[in-house]
Amino acid sequence: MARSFLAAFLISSVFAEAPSYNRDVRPLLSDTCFQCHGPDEANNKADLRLDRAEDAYAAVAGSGRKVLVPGDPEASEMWRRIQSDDPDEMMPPPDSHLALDEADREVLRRWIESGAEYEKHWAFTPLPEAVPEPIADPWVLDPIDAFVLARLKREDIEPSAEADPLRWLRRASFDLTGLPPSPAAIEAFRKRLAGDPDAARTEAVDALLASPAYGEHQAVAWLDAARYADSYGYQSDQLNGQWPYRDWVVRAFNDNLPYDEFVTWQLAGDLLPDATRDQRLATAFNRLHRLTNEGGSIREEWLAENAADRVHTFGTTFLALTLECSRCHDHKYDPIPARDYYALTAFFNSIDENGLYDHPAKVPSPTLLLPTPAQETQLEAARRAVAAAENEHRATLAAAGERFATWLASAGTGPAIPDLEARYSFDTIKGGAIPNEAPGGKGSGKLGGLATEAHGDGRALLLDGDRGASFPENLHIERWTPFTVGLRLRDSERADAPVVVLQRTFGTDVGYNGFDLMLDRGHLEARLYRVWPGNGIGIRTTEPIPADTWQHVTVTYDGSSSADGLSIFIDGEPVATGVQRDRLVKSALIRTYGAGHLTLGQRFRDRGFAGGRIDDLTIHTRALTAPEVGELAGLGTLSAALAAKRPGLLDYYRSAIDSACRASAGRLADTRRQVVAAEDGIREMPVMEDLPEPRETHVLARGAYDAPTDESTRVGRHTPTALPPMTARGETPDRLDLARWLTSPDHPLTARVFVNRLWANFFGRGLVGTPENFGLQGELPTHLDLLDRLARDFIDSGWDIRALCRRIVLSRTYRQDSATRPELADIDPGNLLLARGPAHRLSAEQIRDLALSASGLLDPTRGGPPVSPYQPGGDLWRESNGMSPAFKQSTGKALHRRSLYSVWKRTAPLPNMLAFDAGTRETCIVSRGRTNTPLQALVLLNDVQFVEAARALAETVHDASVPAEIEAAYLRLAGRPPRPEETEILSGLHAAELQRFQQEPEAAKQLLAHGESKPDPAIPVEHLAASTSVCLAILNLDAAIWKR
Amino acid sequence: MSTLDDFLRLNRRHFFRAGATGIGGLALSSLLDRSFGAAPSPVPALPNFAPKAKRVIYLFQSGGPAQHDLFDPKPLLREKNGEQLPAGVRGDQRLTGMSAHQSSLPLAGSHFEFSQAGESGAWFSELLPHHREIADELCIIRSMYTEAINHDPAITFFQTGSQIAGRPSMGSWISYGLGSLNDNLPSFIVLVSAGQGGQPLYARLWGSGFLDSKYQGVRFRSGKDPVLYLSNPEGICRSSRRSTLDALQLLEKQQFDRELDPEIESRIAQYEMAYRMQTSVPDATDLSSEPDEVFELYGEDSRKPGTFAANCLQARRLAERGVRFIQLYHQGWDQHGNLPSAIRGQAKETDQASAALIQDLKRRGMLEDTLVVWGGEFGRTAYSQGPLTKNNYGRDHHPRCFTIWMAGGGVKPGITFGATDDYGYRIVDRDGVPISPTKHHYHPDAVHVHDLQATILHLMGIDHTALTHRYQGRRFRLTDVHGQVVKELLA
Repeated sequence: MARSFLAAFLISSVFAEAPSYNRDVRPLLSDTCFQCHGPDEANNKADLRLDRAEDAYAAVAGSGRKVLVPGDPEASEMWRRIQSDDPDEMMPPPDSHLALDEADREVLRRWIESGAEYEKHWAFTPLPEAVPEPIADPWVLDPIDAFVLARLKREDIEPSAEADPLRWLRRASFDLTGLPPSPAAIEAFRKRLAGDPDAARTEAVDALLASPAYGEHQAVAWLDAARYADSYGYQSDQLNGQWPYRDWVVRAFNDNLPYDEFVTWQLAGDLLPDATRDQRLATAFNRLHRLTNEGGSIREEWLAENAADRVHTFGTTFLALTLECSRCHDHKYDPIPARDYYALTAFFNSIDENGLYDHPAKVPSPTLLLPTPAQETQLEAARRAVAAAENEHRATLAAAGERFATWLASAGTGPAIPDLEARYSFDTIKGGAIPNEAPGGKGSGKLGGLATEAHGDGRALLLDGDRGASFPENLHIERWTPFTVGLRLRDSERADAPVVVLQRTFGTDVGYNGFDLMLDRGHLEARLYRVWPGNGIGIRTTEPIPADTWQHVTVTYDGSSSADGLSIFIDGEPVATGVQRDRLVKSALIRTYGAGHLTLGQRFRDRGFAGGRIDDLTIHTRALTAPEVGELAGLGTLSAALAAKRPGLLDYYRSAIDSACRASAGRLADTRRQVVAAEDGIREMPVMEDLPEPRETHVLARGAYDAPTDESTRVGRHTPTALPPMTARGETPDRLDLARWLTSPDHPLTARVFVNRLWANFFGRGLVGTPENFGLQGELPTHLDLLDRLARDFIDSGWDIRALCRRIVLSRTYRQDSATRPELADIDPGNLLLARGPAHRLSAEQIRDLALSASGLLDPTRGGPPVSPYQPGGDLWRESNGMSPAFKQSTGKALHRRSLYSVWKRTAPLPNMLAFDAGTRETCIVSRGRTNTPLQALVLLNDVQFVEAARALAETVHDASVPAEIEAAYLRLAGRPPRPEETEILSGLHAAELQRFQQEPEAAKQLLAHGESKPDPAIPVEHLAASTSVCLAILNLDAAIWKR
Repeated sequence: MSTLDDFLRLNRRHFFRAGATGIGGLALSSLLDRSFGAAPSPVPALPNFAPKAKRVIYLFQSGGPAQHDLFDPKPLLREKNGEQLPAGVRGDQRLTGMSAHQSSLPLAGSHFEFSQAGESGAWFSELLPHHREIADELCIIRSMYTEAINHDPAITFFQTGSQIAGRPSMGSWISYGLGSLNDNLPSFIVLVSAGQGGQPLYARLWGSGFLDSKYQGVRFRSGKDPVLYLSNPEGICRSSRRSTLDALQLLEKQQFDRELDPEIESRIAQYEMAYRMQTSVPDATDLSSEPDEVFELYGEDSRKPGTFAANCLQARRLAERGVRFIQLYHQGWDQHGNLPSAIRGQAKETDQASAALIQDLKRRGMLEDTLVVWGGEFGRTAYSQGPLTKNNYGRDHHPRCFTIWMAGGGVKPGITFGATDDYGYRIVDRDGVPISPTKHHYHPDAVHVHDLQATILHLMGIDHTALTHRYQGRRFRLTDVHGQVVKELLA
């Protein structure tokens, strides 16, 4: 239908001049030819590129004819092929399901005839320095109007008359704040209108722009792009607690943070000099993508997936380019080779992330702590207490010299190593129980079905990799507790990947936390961590230990939470180690999954110490000193030193013997515990923070994470080659360079892309109808000059978003009435030419907020954790996801917050929001659909949220006069008083409902009982019920649900 | 060169695909296609050819049923029970992080006896006694394979053609391509067995992705409110609702006269459709009119709302009422451990009703134009995850080969297509030689997920390469840029 009516237009269409490449030809070539003859050279057919003049002119077809001979269609193979009806020759070929019609072919013929000139794609050309208005006309209030009017004049179309001022006010109110105008605002506006209409409008707009609701409304579209949600989005879909980012976005809009800074903070706030907390918080933009904690997930696959999501979101949000097409191959339409794609990836993949998350309590690193002022105070106090305790401890140590001398003089030669918690020799095992041989030592080990074998005079544990010996009551450590673990081991079957020697961790294969001792091809690693690798401390021995040889291994930890505080000794001697990670916040042993028992040789779904032998496990609750470790390893170091009364025993004395030093060490540990306690309560956000060295990045064939790589696939960081070059501050470009490049005043895309999306907020459609794609397959702008002018002015204004909003709503174009004009219905049904004002259905958020606001239920509380509004059915979160947390409906005022603050569960979004085309927030979206379905009717008529709101509205407008009630309710919902005939129909409905409720008082009570809020008992039940019915009807009207 | 004609011409490819809002002067009836009510296809020239199947009932078995214990007998696994999976058989197949670090990968012979059934001689284990009765209706595919190795991406891939969220589901594509067959029910309905636990299901599995949200699956639940928000709020009776709708109609008519926006008329139509659904949905979901013999056919479970059996019966009723795509989910097939006892319960919940659905459709003459599909998102390993003991074993995820079946709707009945090696680890070609097909390298003896999708669309009369939607400048389709119709599966 649409096609045939269009065809009638096209046949009558006669070109007065040569077709332009950009306007007429490129859309045809791109859509029908480039898929096989475009920028993706590796996959092109017949080695033919038609997107660049030099290739197209030079190409020779199999027939020996030139593909494109400027000026001569008949000599051009292209012309022959597109005319052919031979299935083997015709272009595009039949199996492509693409076609050129008569008019298309004529365009191409005339283009070739006129010289087949190519042009640069409009969106890649620099933004002009100045774009003068094309006409002057009294109709013009803002330059916007001049561009619109000039276009209309070309078509000989008159603009529409100004809309009724109240219609404009409602429009502006929704477009700026997402809320309807209040009766008071309407009244004030009307009064001012009578005196000074212009002032009435500017004052109304300024009030709306100054309202905190402005930022809340603007944030919604941005959160769609940022794919902000309150849950991780895969499988068990745990809640993520990332709402501080949402609140920052609201704040940024309300503070009118210039767009260039808004962008820079989000891409690279962490790299700004002396970055503020908000600047770092803003970088969460790159961390809001979904994350999985599904068991068995392969980390490398998800690291690639996470980085890809960042790049796609960057591409769509800022460049309106479909970068994702270049993940598997060079882009089919746009000049974006896969190499460019991975070069951009290299900006985003160099953070110290795990790739997965395992438990919602553990925030994926790198992170930023967001203490409240009270927490900040508490944390600082705790840190000061540590510093003081350290000083005190140091002083106590320093003062121990005299006591040491006294003690040494009288010390016996018995090598006392106090603080022994456990000793397991594995020599006498009964019924699978391994006795703790430490004097007074707690607990015993469980052999777990493992075997022992002879070792020396006794026996040693023989491991099989799948089972472990566990010691539930030992090594109950934390970050602040010093400890020492000693054991003998023999690495009989050196594995080619890390194996678990000893661990006391919680978790699954997706992620563990706690303390472990790993053996990686001979290198020992001791780690204490909450989230590996970003939040933990760890050291690794520089030299491998010999395979299949017994050695004694000791790990000591001093409770300092630093890698420095970890030491590894082999056969009693300290060995050289490298630091793997050295940052630890919050507690390191949290109960996520599993029992978390100290275990030898095995861990749930990890690689165990198959074939390994372990013997003589000792645990001390203190970081042993070197002589003690030597003693433990059987070197007799301590005994010898005692016998010789060596002064080198000072450390030993202070650590093991001296009660004053031991007491001050205990106090120090206690203060450290306080720091952890303070940290534990603080909100933590995933943010961006680069590794010291950029991660090596490669072009991945077909986008596969496990594609083979070598030097030829390796890429550095650079911006897309088709766009202007980037200037880097240093040798290696970083995200800040990328942000500076993006926000340079000459960037062809950044301002155009944003201005276009902002325009759509007001007009329902961007000047470019494909806000997600400014590439060759995107739509042409309806008003390129207007877009460019707005973009240039936007930049010149200092990227002032509020100013841009202001000029749009005050423009004559926006003020027009939106009623469809019969003479335009056929030629411009989509209002592309802007011959009338905007009209479209309100968004999901706006509809719910309208009901809450009009009824007076709206709770103005701003920000904070998400709230859970009414949701029908049972627990929709868990009904087909037993792994999900339960949905817990909010109570009281929290049921009536703005929809922006409703909880966004990616795999089970709120159904009343989804019904009105809110997205799932799984991926970046820059425009929503606006459908019209029966489900929407069911939601608006039956959802408790709207029934309750209708009742609350009926109470708010309660009046003895039904028409007065109707007028007040109508004004609140539709922003204008009802017309007499509307009041009449609604009064009729009221009368009918009243009669019914009088006959069925029980039904009236039931209707009023919906929702948590209670009806006003002062209003007669039947009357209130009938008014509720009427308010619900008004709420369902086009006049309420549509912006017109 | 500045006429509106030219301007429209330039943007027409986008403009009309996007469906600009409001086309003046259209009659109310023609606006129905804005709903999920009876509607022509928005994609011209569909169906591409005469469909064999008018509708699909997809019995999705979430979690990944173990093929070695149900459909694909492997005596060798019993012989070599406890022996290591040979490295040569494993090849470079990646393993999940759940079994990759096991110190051994012991082969696990099935604890269940297999035998052949029907004229076709199809093999079933003792877990599936009722399947024996439909053996000659089934087209069993033993050489299915997929790419994903974890549940979430794997089921998303099966249902939307992409592991990444955001693409339309199969039911959405088909609704979009073919429109609806009825006037008062959604054309794409989702039924989930209640209280199963197991691997989660996600809204995206029946979502419409970048297609209009009117194409998304509508979930029907057991109980009082089969569709969320369907019932009038307490205190509002049907006649009261009628008078509200009448008042709305009058008011909207006036609004239309002023605004001339056809969307207003369309909204009126949606409200009427909603009103009709308030009776048509309860009518479709009320099983009380079914005779006892039907419940006996589907099994006692079918009397319990929300069970797989009740949903199978429900699916037949929806099929009768012209619902185009009926998607069932039954969770709980994810037997990493304790497989022998867990799979027994799982099979018991699904065996009889699956068979009954086929028999019921057949006797009603509906099987020939109803395509039924049964299967999960991947298979399971030939080796045991976790310890293999005399009485117990588990199986990890295995994307490289698994079994599904189809019936009715133009598929070849009574065949078993494709084969796996004696270890049940790799697909083999018809000469028994192990092969490693990929979507980039089609092999006629193996069925990739995209091949299955292409075949299902083909049976619905759709050329899978022609059912496209332009989004972000690209023509997307269910099968991405892959997929081959597996001709040998067609009747």
